[in-house]
Formats: sequence, structure tokens, C-alpha cells
Amino acid sequence: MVNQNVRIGSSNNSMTGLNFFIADLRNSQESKSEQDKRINSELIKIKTFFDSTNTSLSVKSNNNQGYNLKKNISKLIYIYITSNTSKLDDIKFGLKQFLQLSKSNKYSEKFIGYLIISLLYQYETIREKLMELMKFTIINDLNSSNEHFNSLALTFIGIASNFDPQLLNDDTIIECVFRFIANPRTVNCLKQKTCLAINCMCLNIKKFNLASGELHNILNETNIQHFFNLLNDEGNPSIILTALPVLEYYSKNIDPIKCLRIIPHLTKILLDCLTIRKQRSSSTANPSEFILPNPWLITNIINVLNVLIISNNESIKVTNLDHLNQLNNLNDETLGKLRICVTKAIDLNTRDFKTPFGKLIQNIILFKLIKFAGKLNPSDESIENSITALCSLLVNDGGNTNGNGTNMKYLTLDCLIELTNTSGKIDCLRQKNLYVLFNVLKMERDISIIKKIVELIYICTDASNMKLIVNQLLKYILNANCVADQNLKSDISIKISKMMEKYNQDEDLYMNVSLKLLSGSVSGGGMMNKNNDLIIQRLIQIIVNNEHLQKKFSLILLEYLNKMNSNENIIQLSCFIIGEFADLIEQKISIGDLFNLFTTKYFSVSNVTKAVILTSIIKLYKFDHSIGSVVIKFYQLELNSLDIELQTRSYEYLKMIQICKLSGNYELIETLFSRMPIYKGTKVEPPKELISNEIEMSKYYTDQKLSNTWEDSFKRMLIHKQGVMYQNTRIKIIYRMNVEEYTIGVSISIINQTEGVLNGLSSEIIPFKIRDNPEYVIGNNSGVSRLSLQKNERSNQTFDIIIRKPFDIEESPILRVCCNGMEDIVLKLGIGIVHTILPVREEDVVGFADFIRRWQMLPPEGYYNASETQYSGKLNQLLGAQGQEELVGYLQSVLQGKFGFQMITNNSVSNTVFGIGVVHSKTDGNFSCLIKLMFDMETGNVNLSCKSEHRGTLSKSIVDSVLTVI
Amino acid sequence: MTQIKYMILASRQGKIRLMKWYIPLTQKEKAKILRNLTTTILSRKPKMCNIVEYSDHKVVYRRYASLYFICGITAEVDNELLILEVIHRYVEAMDSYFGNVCELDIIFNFSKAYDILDEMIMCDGSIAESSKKEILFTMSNMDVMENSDNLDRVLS
Repeated sequence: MVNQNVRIGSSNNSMTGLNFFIADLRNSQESKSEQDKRINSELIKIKTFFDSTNTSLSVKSNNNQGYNLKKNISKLIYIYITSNTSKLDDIKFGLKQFLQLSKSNKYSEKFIGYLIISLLYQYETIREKLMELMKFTIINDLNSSNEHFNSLALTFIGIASNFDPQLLNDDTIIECVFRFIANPRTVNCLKQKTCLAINCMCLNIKKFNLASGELHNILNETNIQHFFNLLNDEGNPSIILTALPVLEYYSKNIDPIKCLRIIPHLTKILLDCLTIRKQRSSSTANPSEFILPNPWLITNIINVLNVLIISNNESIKVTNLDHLNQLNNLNDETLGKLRICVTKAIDLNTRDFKTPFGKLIQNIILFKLIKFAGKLNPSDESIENSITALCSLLVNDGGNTNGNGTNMKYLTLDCLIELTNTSGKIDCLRQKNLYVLFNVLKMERDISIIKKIVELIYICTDASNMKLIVNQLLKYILNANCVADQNLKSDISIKISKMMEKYNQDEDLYMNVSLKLLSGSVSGGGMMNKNNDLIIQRLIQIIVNNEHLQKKFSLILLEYLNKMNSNENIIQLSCFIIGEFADLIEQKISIGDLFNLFTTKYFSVSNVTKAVILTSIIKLYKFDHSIGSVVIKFYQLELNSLDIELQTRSYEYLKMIQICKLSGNYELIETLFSRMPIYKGTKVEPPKELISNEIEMSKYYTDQKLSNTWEDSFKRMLIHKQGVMYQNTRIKIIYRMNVEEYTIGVSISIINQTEGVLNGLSSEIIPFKIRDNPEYVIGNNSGVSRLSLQKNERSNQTFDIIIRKPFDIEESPILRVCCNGMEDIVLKLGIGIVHTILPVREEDVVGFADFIRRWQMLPPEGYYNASETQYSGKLNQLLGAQGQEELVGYLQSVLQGKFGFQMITNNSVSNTVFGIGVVHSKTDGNFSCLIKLMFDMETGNVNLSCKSEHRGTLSKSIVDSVLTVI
Repeated sequence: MTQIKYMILASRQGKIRLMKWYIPLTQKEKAKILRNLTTTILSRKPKMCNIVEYSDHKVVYRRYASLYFICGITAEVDNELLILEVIHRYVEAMDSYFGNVCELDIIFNFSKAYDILDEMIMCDGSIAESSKKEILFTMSNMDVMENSDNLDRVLS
């Protein structure tokens, strides 16, 4: 691609017509209209020329015509480029000629032909017309013996695959491309081009999401072997360099196991690369010059190895990658060699390279390999050594004055993070080097580096050193000189809260630290920081739920409040807490004094806090009616407030006081402002943002690749309470469901149908969510009863699904059954909220009139709080029915028998079925839901609508399930 | 191989001298990146490190005289130090082409600066050519063509 310009240069000189045209256009640069005129006249000329060739196309195809074609098309290219592509429509007429030129036998002509087609290929209209015809040209050129033609076609394929997903599925073209790799006689340059073209195609497969396309199939077979062969060409690093990205793609996306073989080979190349050789020619003046290792090659090799090699630690973390676990069997020799590579990289760093480029390469290689070292299952000792070495780098470079020093620091930290993540060995860092990190933190001014250090410190935290780390970090952010950046500050404070949430058992410490965090953070006028809000929420939760803390912290907060210029966050929190628990600290401070304290703070804070104080004051009044007159005066003052919230609050509170005073009965205020109820749930959940999220369960759920026939079993489970869930030649799974209000007990049996023994049986049930208030929970999972099955033996398993609230049928749990020597069976269980539908009780049986009344009471679709879902469409299966009555009978039997709706008989409307049922759930309770199914015998159209009392997705999921079944 | 996301040249005053995007972005996103990056990077002191984390990717930058060369990269694929080297090669190429390049050269001959960049980095953000010699050769070829054009114009 790089050489294009040169080639134009050489072919350009001969085309005088083009030169004149360009010179003319350049001369008329001043006036646009003149330019346009020139272009238009030229276009007409070209058009007439093309027309003349059209008529006499096959009669004479002499040299001169090819030349003229080339010249004219070059003009079109120039017009296209010089007009900033705005003249696209004007040059479209020549598509036929473009193709003709690209078929030419002369390189310079063919080149121009390919050039204009690849320029225009991005437009869909043009692509449609050219695609089929272009394919033949490409295949011809790929098969040609002229290597220049080959490389033109390859370049074109690389460019075109960006726009044309069909090209990626075309087996003939792909086969032709792969032939270059397979053929040992292909010249190097062509091999490189082929690799690049294939790499381009691979990248675009991702873009178009064509994972099952033809290219994958072809790569899958023997062809990847040819890429392995390319690695043998050690004299020519550029070929290896181009082949590596393809291998990386292959092992990442297709089949890592096949690539395991090349690990030793890659290791050898890497080792060769790292072995430092002296300059070969002895004539160079400086004999101590070394050949620098190739950093591009090394980084690319390591990228491939990173995909292929999985450390023990990682394999624990990602247990779902079963097939990759085999990768651990690296043989000792290779492992040893790879370790030598790491030592060599470290050695390399001790050498003194004169040039800045040399130094750069040293660092690139060093960091790349040390990061990689974590994957080689190193001994504790070696990890310890490298961590210590890296930490010492951190300290030593502090004095370094050039910019590289800080880069080194950054990369060292990056490296440490990676190393601890891949090797999982943090102890050394935790025990010995924590102070180093803190020291660096104190000295550092660079935000990029500070962020990294904090991240690293966060990784190092555990229950034992949590206190120390929290204190240090707290000290750091409270020291205002150190951190100017507000984002960073709140980042660190949220990290502190996370750490405490994760490891802390000691409430006192938690409270103290949180208070300090709050008082340390800056709050601008009225702008509440989101993080601070979170902390306040959490603190209130804890205090309200723990009685023994209430008095203690009211007192502490009182102290904070008494300070002259206390922070606004603190004021907000303390006013709320003290207002709530003022009676507990009455012997310390009287209610009247508290009122005075609040009012003095009132005028120095923002409106949000003011609103909190207003509410706290009425709570104070609840405890002591004697402050009534001042409270009333205070509220009267605020009646004129400009802020609507403050005004409403004071007006309402004033009214309440008046009502109570008039009647002499304070029950109203007592009830309205009674003590806050304890937060529900056995264990108080901290706000979502404060939990450090390790595993994304729902991602794991969506990543599951379902078996081919899952839809059959899914439907079957929706209708039948028991039956066969899955069956193939080797295994059979049967199931049975028991519904008890909102609990669905499921038992499955896996039966061995082969003649032999099935080993290594295991199963997994994957819910959509396990956190964040899941819609259903899986409990009492017994696991498989047998790990290996003899012929016809069965393994039983039972589990309960407790439905807490309505959920989308799409999110029902997934069952995964694994067994040795067999593909995993992954099935979505057809278990949904519809299973809990029961007919209404005997005494509530409704008639048709009652049904209509109820139907009309619920808001229709599209309204606020609507709970109706409608579906209308065609269902061809219904057309086969014999008569209307049969169809009604069928639909009723489905709705009643399979879903449990109570059917309502009516005589007025014959083509509609009505039903009613009650849905059960644990948390959200029970809902009745109404269903109406109208059909048209003639056309097969149906209109299904469902209304329920539940304001959510319930009606939608019922409609979905009914549709799936019918 | 490499996946550079964008390359921006900004002066010390925060004026954008050159920009090239290798990933599709809306005008709004581009403006946001330009605004945020220039403020964060210009405020950094010379002794600070050349790598900044910005939204979901990393940014490598380097200052040459009054110009900041800013480069957005894909953290998983690219090596930060190698990108620094790429920037350096670009500067070297411009240096040899213009002969001791300065900001004014880039302002007045911005099309040349773009041409050199296009020679080095392909439209999808991967490195096309790393050799300074090759780049300068192509550049001089293009110049010869242009000059002969101009000459023709004068003579005609």
C-alpha cells in the first residue's frame, strides 16, 4: 500500500492528457465556476469515449484503447478526489469501464482499475452493482502467476472486507487467499500481504459479528497449520510479525487448544530474539555496539502467549473456562525456557545502551516480560524478589530528573498491579513493601501515578492491615496540600468506604472514619457530592439499626456540631440524627439549647440542608412542647422563603402545630414523626455503589451459549409439569415440577443411554441475578447424586426456585450439564411466573359481567401505571382447526389445563376466550390477572391482551409465555 | 498490531494544530475529548509521566518545544512506550523533512504534516511504515510531482 504513490508517479509521466487536465484545474483554482465548467466538459468527453468503447468493445482491444481507458479513469479519480467526493454521482456512469480496466493485463492499467474500485467500494449502491462481477476478477488475479497481480487483489480484499460482509463468507475467494500461505514457493512479500489481508478479514469478522462464517470454517481446518509453518522462517522476522496477529485472533476466538503446539516454537523465537548478539560486520568502528532486540516482535509474541498460557491463579478465578485448564500442562522444558527469557530481559536492562531508543527498548521488553512472568506459575520466592526489585525501582527513581523517570514509575506500578493480579501473590507486597507505597504516595504530585498507587494499595488491603491503610489514606486526603484534584479525593474516599465495607467488623472505627471522611470533603454551596450522600445514607442506616450506637453517636455528632465552622455534610447528618434521638441526650443538652444550635447553623447552609433542619426542628418540638412559641416564630419567618421546598415544609409544619395546639392533642405529630423504623432485612445491604463488585453474574448468564434444541425443551416446560427435557443419543434428561404457591420444586434425572460409562457428570444452575434484589432465588440445590453413570443408570437432582416477584420469561434460569467426552448441554429452563397461576378460589368465581367490570377498572395500555400488554398478529397454526368450537375448546384447554387460568364462559361473544387467574410471588404478593384472546377464523389473526394488578412486566411475561406455547 | 485511536497536536496555548481520528466519533465526542485532554495535559508539569488515563482508554503524550503530541491508544493492545517511539519517529520524520521543524512549519505546511502522518499510520490506526527513509522518499516523490505540476503551469 505504501508504494502506491511511487507507482502513480512512474505511470503518470506518460499520460499527458491527464497532466493537462490537472494543470487546467489548478490554473482555475481561483474561480469555482470555471473549475466546474472544465470538469463538466471533461466528464462529457469521457462519457462519449466510454460510449464509443461500449459499442466496439470486443471488436478491437488494442493497446491504445487500454491506455485511453486508463487515462480517462485517472481523470475521474482526480475529479472524485479534488471535489472532496461531492462529484460521486457524476462519475458513477463508468462502472463497466472500471471493471474492464481492472481486468487488463498491464500492471499500470490494472492498478488504476483497482484503485478506483476500492475508492468507491464504500458506497453501498456501487458495491451492489460491482460485487458479483468483481469476484471473478479477484479470483482470476489470485490465480494468476503474476505476483504483482496477486498482491493487488490481496490489498483489495483487505480494503473491501471493511465494507462487505459477503466477501468474508465467500469460500472460493478465501480458499484462493489461503493457497498463498499453503504454497511453499510463494515469495515472502506476498506471504506478508496475505497475512495482512487475512488479519484484516479476521478483524472485520468481529465487526460484522460473523463468528460462524466461512472464514472461521476454513481457518478451523488444516489451514492454521500453514501459519505455524510461517514461524519457521526465522531469517525473516517481518513474516513472523505479520503471522502473529492472525494466530492471536485464532487462539482468542476459535480454538486455543490447537495453538498449544506452537508455544515451544514461540518460546524459541522469543529466546533467540532476546539473546544479544554483537554487530555482525566487524568493520564498524564501535565493537561494543549490539544489535537491538526487536521490540515489536517481542510484544506480539508475548501477546499470543498471554492468550495461550493461563496461570494457576487465573484458572481458579475463571473456572468456567474448562477447556483452557488443559493449558496448564506446559512441559517443563518450555516453562524453563520462558523463565530464562524473563531473566534475559532483566539482564538486558543492566546493559548500558547509548541511544535513547535503546533505553526505550530495554524498558519495553523489561516490563512486557515481567508482566508476563506472573503467568509462569513462579515460585513465591521469585515473585517476592521481583516485587522487591520493582519496589526499589519506585524508590530509586524518585531522584531522577528527566521525564523518563516518572514514566518508569508509572509502568512499574502498572506492572505490579498486573503481577499481583495474575500470580495472586500479594503477601510479599502487603507485608514488606506497603510503607514504600505510602512513602511514594506522600511524595508524588502526578495524578496518573497517584491513581495507580491507590489502586495498588487497594489490592493489598485485607482484614489485618485494613486499619493501617485506612488511617494512612485518610491522613493523606485530609491533608489539603497533597491533593488538589477533587475527583481524585472523592475517588479515594469511596475506596476507603469500600475497604471498610468489605473487611471491617468494628462499628466504632467505621463511624469515626466515615465522619472524618465527611468532614474532610469539601461541599460547595448546595452542590452535594454523590459520594458523600452515599456515606450519609449508610451511616444513618447503621445508627438507626443499632440501638447501642444511637446515644453514643448523637453525642459525638453534637461535638462536631458545636465546632465553629463545621462542614455542611456533617451538619446535615447530625441534624438528622440528633433530631431523631434528641431524647436520648437530654441530660447533656436541653431541647431548647438544641433548637438554638440548629437555628444558628440554619443561616449558614445551603437549601438542601436547611430543609433537613426544618424537619429536625419539628421533631424537637415533638419531644418538648415548651419550645412551641419560638418554633412557630421560626416557621413563620420561613413562610416567606424563596425556595418552594422550604416554604412548603414550614407551612405544613406550622399547620400541624396549630392543629395540635387547638385540640390540645399531640397525637398527630407523635404519629407523623415517630421514631424511624429499623431498616428491613436481616442483614442491612449497603448501597450498591459501596460494594466492590467482583463477579458480574448476569454477564456470566448472558455469556452462556445455549444448545441447539433448547427452544423445544423450553416450550415443553412451559406447558407440561413433567416430561423429557432433553434427549440425544447418549443422554436423556427428564424433569418434574411441583408448584406450591410461589415455590417451584424441580427435580431432574439424567439418564445414561450409551452402552458404556459416563464419567465426570456435573451440573450447574445459573440464575439471571444473584444480587440487587433478584426476581427469583434458587435454593435447596442437591447437586447431582452420582458423578458417573453406568448404562441406563440415572442421576437425580432437586432444587427449588422461589419466585420473589414477576420476571421476564427471557431471564429464567439456565441449566448446564457437563460430562466427559461430550459437548456441554446448556438449556434455558422454561420456568416463569406463569407457573404460579392458580384458578381463583371457589367462592370468588366470577361471571362474565364481573370479568368485564374488573377489566374496565384496570387502566389500558399506554396509560400511566398501565399494566396491560397487547399482542396482535397472525398465527397460522390456528388456521388448521376444523371449526370455531373446536378452536375455542383448544384455546380453553391450553389456557386452563396448561397455565391454570380459570375460564369464563359467555354466550355473547363467540370468537373470544376469557380467563382469570392469580399469580403468586413471595415479596410482591399475589395478583389477579385477566386475559382475553380474540381470534379471527378466516385470517388466522389473533389479538391477545392481558391485564394485571401488578404495575410492572407481569402482563408482558404472561403474554410472552402464552405466545410461546400457542 | 497497534490500535491508535487518535493523534492530536496542540500548542502550549491549547490551540489545536493538527488532529487525526482513527475511530468513528461524533463531532460532540471529538470536541469533548479535545477540550478535556488539552486542559488536563497542558496543566501537567514537565517532570510528570507521559501517560494519562482518560475515560476508558490511555493517552500517551509528549512535548516537543511548544507543541504537545497527544495520542489515544487501546490499553490492551498497545504498548505505551512503543507509542512514544512512534511519536518520536513522526517528529524525526518531520524534522528531517522541514529541516529543524518548528510550530510555524506545521501551521503553514499543515498538509505536509498530514501527509507524513498518513504515510506512517494507516487509516485504521495501525503502523504502516516505520522507516524514516522510506517516508522521506515518498514525500520527496510527491513533491517532485507537485513541482513539475507547478512548473508546467508557469510555462503554459
